[in-house]
Amino acid sequence: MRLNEKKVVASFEVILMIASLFAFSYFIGASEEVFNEIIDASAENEKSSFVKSIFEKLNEPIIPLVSAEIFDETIFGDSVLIENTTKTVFDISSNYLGAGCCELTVDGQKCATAMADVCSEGALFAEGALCSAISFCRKGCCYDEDAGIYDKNVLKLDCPKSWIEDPNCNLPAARLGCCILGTNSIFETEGQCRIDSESRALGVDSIVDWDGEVNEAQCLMLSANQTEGACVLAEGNCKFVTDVDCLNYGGEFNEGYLCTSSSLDTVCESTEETSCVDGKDGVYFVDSCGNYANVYDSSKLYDEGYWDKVVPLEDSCSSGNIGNANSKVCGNCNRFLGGICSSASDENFDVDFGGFYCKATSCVFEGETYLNGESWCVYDGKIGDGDDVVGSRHWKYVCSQGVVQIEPCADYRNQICIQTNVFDFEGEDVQFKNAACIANNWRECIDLNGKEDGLNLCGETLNCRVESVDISEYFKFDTCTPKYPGGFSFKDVRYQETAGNVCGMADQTCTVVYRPKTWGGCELVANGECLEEKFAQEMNDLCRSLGDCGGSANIEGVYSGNYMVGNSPTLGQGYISGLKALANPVEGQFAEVENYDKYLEAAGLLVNQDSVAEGDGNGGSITTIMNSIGAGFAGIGYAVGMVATGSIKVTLASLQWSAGGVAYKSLAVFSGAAIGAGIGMVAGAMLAKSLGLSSGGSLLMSIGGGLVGGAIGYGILSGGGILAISLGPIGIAILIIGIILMIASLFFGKDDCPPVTVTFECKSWQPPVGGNDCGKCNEDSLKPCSKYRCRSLGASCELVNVGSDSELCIDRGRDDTNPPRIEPQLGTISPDEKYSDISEKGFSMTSLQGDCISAYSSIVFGITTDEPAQCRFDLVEGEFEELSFDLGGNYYSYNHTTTFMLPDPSHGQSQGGNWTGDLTFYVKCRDTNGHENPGFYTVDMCVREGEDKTAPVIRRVNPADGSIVNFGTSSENLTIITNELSTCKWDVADVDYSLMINSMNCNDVLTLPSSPAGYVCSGELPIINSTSKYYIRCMDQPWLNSTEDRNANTQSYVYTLRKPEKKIEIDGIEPSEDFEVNTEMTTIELEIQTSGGGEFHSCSYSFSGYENMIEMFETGTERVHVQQLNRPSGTNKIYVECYDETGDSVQGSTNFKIIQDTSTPQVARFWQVGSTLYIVTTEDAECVYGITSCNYAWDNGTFMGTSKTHTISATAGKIYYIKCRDDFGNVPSDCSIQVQVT
Amino acid sequence: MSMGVISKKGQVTIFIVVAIVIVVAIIGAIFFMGGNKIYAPTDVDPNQIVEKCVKDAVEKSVWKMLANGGQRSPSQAIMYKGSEYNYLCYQADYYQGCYNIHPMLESLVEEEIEEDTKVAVQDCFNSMREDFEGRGFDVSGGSANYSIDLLPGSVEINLKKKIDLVRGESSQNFENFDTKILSPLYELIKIARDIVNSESEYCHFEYNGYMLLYPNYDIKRIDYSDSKIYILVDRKSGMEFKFAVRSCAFAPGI
Repeated sequence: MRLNEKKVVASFEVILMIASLFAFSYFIGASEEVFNEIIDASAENEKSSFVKSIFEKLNEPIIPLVSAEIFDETIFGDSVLIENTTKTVFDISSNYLGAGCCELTVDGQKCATAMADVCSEGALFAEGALCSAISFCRKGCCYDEDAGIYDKNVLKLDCPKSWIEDPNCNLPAARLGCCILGTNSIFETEGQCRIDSESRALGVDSIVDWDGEVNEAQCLMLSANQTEGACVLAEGNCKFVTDVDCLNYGGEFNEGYLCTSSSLDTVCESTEETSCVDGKDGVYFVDSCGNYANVYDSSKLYDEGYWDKVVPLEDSCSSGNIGNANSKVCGNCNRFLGGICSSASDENFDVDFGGFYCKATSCVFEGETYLNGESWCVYDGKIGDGDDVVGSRHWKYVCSQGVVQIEPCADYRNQICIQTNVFDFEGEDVQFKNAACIANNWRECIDLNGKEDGLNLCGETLNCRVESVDISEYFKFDTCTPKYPGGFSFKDVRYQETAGNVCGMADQTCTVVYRPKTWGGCELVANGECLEEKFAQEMNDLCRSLGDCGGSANIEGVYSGNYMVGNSPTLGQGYISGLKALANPVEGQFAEVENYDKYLEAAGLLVNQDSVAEGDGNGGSITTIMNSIGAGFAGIGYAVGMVATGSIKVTLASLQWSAGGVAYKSLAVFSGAAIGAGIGMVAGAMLAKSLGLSSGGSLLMSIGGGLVGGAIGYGILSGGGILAISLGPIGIAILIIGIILMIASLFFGKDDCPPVTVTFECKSWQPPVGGNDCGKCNEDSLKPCSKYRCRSLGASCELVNVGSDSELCIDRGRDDTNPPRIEPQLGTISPDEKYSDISEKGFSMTSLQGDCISAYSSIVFGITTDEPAQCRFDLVEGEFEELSFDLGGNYYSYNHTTTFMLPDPSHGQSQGGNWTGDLTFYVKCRDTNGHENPGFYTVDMCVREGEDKTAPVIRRVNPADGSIVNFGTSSENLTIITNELSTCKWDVADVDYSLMINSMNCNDVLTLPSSPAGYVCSGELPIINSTSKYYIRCMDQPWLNSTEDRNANTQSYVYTLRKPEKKIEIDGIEPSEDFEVNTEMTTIELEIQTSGGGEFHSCSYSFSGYENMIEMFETGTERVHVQQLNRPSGTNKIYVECYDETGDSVQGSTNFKIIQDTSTPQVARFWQVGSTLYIVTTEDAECVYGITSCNYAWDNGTFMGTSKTHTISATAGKIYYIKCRDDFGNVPSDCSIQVQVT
Repeated sequence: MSMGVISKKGQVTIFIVVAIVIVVAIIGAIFFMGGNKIYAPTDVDPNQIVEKCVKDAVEKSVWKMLANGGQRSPSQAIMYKGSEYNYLCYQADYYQGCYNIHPMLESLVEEEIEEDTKVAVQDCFNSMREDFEGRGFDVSGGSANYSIDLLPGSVEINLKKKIDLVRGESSQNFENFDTKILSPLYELIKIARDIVNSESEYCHFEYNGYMLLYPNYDIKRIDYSDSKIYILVDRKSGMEFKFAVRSCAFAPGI
């Protein structure tokens, strides 16, 4: 993956995440390196028949039975995931060839990632580009200054008014402030305040009371603290308003008095009526003029004093109920405590007087009372520690004025619900439940496993945890997993394929090592614990903690196993019962609120001076990760037909030679005995070895042989013609003892103690077959059903009437009684093969000529089913669940494809195998209702056998040919993959294989290729020049003694590495100087200029240090990296780090101050000369004037010019209302000056 | 005692008779005098007829705007529980903040209501014309000047059309048919703007706190199929403004 692709193709993070999945398998595999030494030592003991070998190899879970697309494109080197399904608009997480940013699609979507052919005619299209980085999709601010409306993140083409390229609308007039409208206050722009003030029927001359210095909460307080009183108008009319409003009405304001006050002599009288009042919680008496009076108190209805002056709320009635909820007599409601004014008739509530009461605002849910505004989390089962059950969702419930509202958090557990019960208020703990649905960071947890220090970062990363597998001394490792695993779509092939990769991270092999005992039998050396159920349990815990994987239960507690264990017990019922129990919520449990500070600090949303320190960088380059891709895999094809034939063959010839005798009659008798004993011991030892005796048996055999040999030597050299006579009784006794020992030794045979390979394969979770539980999804109105939820209940469950008011989860397969019908996937087959002998029961695969298929070539075949089905196959017949391999993936689909390679049968035979090259796959498919095809669908094929005259082919190299290496590196590790087992060499000169000097490390064995693409060799190449050229050749069949029988490349694979002229550097960072603005927040463009290094540069930034860098969108050209940032005024320090594809990086930072200039231009002096009025401002300013009042929009003013001196051709007697604004747009809300011309 | 009662009854009878005579005399005088017919003000005031008709039409349209996120019919919407929820902010891709696709929503709604009701408004005048022509009036009029303003608490209908009613020698002119209907549409649109601005910038709107600060409004949010459904309720009137947002949607996997 090249870095420039990140810029132009798709979301970098997610590609990296996918990449890391592959790397991760290697990562885990690498933890077994130490352990492999033990295995190597015991490998020579391994013996197996050819058929057994095939079967065992096919049972290895790490065999990547992947789809053709993934196999061909993604495993190694540069990779692109190809989308097969028809899609007009793609999610940004995918990397689609030909996709780009489309200005407008045919179905009306703007600025969407799509293919060119679905882009509307005439619409702009940028192939391979992210919309966020494309000029025609840049977001800006659409505003109407007169109306005070500012809309953020608007496309220019969508804006009917003014538009500027600042998505955050950092304009002075966009500032929010407090607009006082009588007893109400609204937090809005000044422009909106003007309109609101005018619309209150106070006209254009109404006073606009707007304050930009208060926040929203203070604004609300301002409204509550308004001075109110009786505004006495003409003819005894009266309005109970604020002093400002009274001024507007032109009345006489009587602060604190009610309109019904007898002292005011108004026409207003007390009534029994009550009402709710805007901006107030309580129920208020209403007078005969329609004014509200004091809080409703039935005992004070006829109390004249209560209708005279305003009674503060704290001195008003109290019913004893919290917030006076449901009180018949008192309307002193408090919405926070539990009551708010509401219509009594609407709620069928009886009150003593009037039609309103304090409606209870608290809620009761499952026996617990919640205050108004409180929110809490509800779950479908246990949460956290990777235990969230499949299909589950987090829910946020809110108590809103007595009604419980449900907010489902994002499905597939893309959001989690966090909750706090206490918050700090001025140093005191206040009990108040507050919940929120926040993004689940599960993807980053998975991603961390691909980073060098990922495990160290895991613990401190949001929503991540370290899952430890500790089964034995040699089988333990840590993995970074999500606390709350994400869910996967069960029916979307695109996501099921990636789900398979995520789950596959938990695929593991534990090798249990034995050695023979002294007196026979085997003893365990290592990893015996892998043979216990604990192995499956711990591995399954890891598996399901990655997502919807492995053996897990759904929300109804129905278990579905999606794993395979080889050579170890499967999950027991006790453990499975525990998994089912996870579908029961844990009382009192809720997701903890974690520390978000470092994320907020890095993003500049939280300032923590302590944390602003330079760090060491976050390490972990893309190249490093990508280099790991491809390692750690075994190829299916190589597995098929390969024989483990490492046994040592000891021929009897040596024994015969030793027993046949060496006789030197000239030796002395004792010497002869000694020699005979020695020979006998050696012969005995060899015989013991050939007989496969244990070490104890070998000892007996050697001693016995020694005794027999010694006796014979003695007898021969003692001159006796007859052995018995020449030996004498002692010699005979020794001879007999020797023979007895030899015979006895045969009872201590050496047991074959091969290692046992215990495997665990973690598959993506699939729902249980059938659909008996589908209806349960519809039963709980407090937890509405969804596609994900529904489908988790059964494979044939489907949500129907989607979007309608009768959305239901039903069993789609209820009427289906037929098994899936299988046919070959005619369009999917390797170019050199064809399907033949097609029948209802199967087909054969042959070469195009109709004979056996070629060895060592990629073989692709597929089948289709007439309904969604899961398909599996094996080399032997068995029940569906017993079949070892998924055909095309562990999910329901119509198309099922697999890819593999097969070795030359003769290669296996040459090492003891007996496979002739014939092969039959037994295929079974099962539909969502559990119907399986009767019998087996068979796929027959044979692999061509013959003399190998073909040299190996180098299929892949990593790093890719022509790659750029680190500037400082003196060597580079090269990995190559060949199609057959080979030995390889490289040289800087293009010479024959035999003349090449540098051998590569080719440690694969025939039975265990390291990559699904083939056999891996590696070597270290020196970096000599800025461009270094290397020649690589390989030779096959390394097991042959004679190189003449082997095939070497006659033409070299030419490989080139390049080195940058200089390391990547940061040439400049902008902004670098202080600047002035007129708003609190400013949209700045962080611009970084880089040079040197590799071809592709990327940068990241942070406001808190180098530990938590944020990737830039890369909106600039290749060497200029630009990112828009919304920054507050004040001192800013931005840390930047840039890196190239070689992994080299460079850090830098910039300091600047954003100075907020909010002062408006002042009028220094003014004078009149004749009919010309002169105005001089303190700074350059643009001035306009109006002639009615200061309350006019800027654009409606008459322009006076832009400078320090401004003139008006004035008319005597008129008042000129002048406003001036500076370069930053600072303009007074009122007038700069009012001048009456004489 | 009995005498007093009789005399009171007699007085009442006399009063009634006198009253009847006076009324009959006045009616007779008018009848025999001839000349212009006198109509009750309501009979000859086309304002009331037109206003009521126009208000009905605008009210219907306002309901449409409330239900369809500010448009007569949704231009880009998601179905939820049988209703279409118009997107006000939309991002087709995953993990990205949305684009505000209907900026200046007030202006848009005003235009939409005007477009939606202009035929009905014309029909109102036509009905009025037919009504008055049926009563013997000659009705003539000029072109209409019609606009809608969203204002706090109301929808203002600005309708100017010169109408001349002529019958015989008498005529009356009417021109101003301005009226307004009470509606929280303006306030609900302002809340929608706050939500869209916040969703497009932060992929989130803290509606819970908003409801506590502004108890007159109820905000319901439902996460549905990659989108967020927002229902803004004015508690006093019960009117609901419905729309959808697709911002920072998550993929169902990797």
